[in-house]
Amino acid sequence: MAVLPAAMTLLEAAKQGDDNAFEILLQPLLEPGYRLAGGMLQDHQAAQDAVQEAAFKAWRKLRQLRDGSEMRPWFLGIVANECRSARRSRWSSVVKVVVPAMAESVSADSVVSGLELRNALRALDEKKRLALVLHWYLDLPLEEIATITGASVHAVEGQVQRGMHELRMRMKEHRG
Amino acid sequence: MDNERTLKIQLRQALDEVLPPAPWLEAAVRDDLRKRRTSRSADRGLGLRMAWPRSGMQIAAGLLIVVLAAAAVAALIDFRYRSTHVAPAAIDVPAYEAMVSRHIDQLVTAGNGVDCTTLQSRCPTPGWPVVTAEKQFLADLNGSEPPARFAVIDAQMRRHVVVAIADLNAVVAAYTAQDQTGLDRANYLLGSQGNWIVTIGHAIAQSHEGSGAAYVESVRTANQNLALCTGCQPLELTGSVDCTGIQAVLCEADVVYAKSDVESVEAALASVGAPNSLAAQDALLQRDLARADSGLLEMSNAQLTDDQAAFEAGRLLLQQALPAINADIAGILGG
Repeated sequence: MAVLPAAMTLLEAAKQGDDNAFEILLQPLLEPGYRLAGGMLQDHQAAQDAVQEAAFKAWRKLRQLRDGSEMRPWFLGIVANECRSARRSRWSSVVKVVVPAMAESVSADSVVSGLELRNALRALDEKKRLALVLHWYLDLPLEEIATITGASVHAVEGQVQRGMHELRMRMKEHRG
Repeated sequence: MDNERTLKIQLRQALDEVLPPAPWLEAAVRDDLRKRRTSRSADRGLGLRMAWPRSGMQIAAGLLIVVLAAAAVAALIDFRYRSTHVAPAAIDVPAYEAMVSRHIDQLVTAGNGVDCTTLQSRCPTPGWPVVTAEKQFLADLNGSEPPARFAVIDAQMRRHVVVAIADLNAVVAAYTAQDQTGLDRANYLLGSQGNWIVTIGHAIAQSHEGSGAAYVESVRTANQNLALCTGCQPLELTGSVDCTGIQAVLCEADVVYAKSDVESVEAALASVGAPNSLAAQDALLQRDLARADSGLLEMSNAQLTDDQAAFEAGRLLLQQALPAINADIAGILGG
């Protein structure tokens, strides 16, 4: 109970223009934001760009965050929007497929499987991809994903299930 | 893959492979925020406009950009001339989709590995492959009459390609003149053009006729972005402080954000064709979106050349189009 009032005070301070308070609030959100953007864009440079843009936009729009609202889903929603438009992407990174350097300990099979999975994820429509990344990669509960995406919990659950099903089908197709 | 748990673990591993830990991220974000806050304070508090550089090389960069803008205008006039004087060949939907898809792939391939964002970058010389790819795309667009369903978005695609070529040339000019400010601006605007062309190109390439429900759902989803359009709000206000100087960082960001949110609705319409029952409403929405998009393009071009009058003309177009778009969408969603 002691954490919540302190956090609310920070938020109020940030809303009133205290930039240090905003940075303190933002700090724990950067890593999940980066993972979300990375999962959606599959490019670490583009993910960093998306988080930077989202941070700036969050700073500009902080007063729009309603009292009592959680900052994490609000910020992740902004990151998701940034990924949607990949606003600062350059030609070279618009649909770049990143092929990681193969570590000695990693088998060729697992690299192929990773590539297949990333390609299959990229082929999903945006809603399903977002739901899967948030639920499986960031481990967020369905309720929070519903807040981020503005959909109902039931709809999010359906997107995760259909996304998983499509992912499986695409992998099967690929492997014949 | 045996079960959900296995698939989940494999997916995590697959994403971790392309996403290295980013211990620098916090510092990078903080640094970026502080820089941009400073720009914002300068824009708001002092009402200053970004001063043109004074060194000889930087003045040369300014002149080069003006010359390139003139070239872009000439290209636009040429494009208009061609579009009215050359009889293009009519092509059907699959052929049009295939043509667009082929060119988008070529553009992406040509742009792959190109990085000209700093004065230390190894930038290509004028005539680099991505410019050639853009010109070939434009030539094919000019040489074909799109199916009716894509007529509006096709015209916008041509405009975006023309502006992208001007932006690419501005990148080269700024790099040649060793003008980092010009390089940042040109790259920022180019990134936004590139994103529009690729997003809309993919939407066209993968488009399909939708049922009434699918079309309405597609418009509803895209409209969520437009409703949040953070760039639109300051641009709708004529006296907005963000654009006291049209080359200010905030003003550039507003235009790019607004462009992206308008783009999301354009992409939705391109990818899911309206059923006959909604064809008339779809045509109205496409027309109004094209007006907003053209206004934003004009503003973006004006930012490159610091042309306040052209910027305001584009802004007026946007201001007129946005309420019409909202009304069109309300009609579709309410119907």
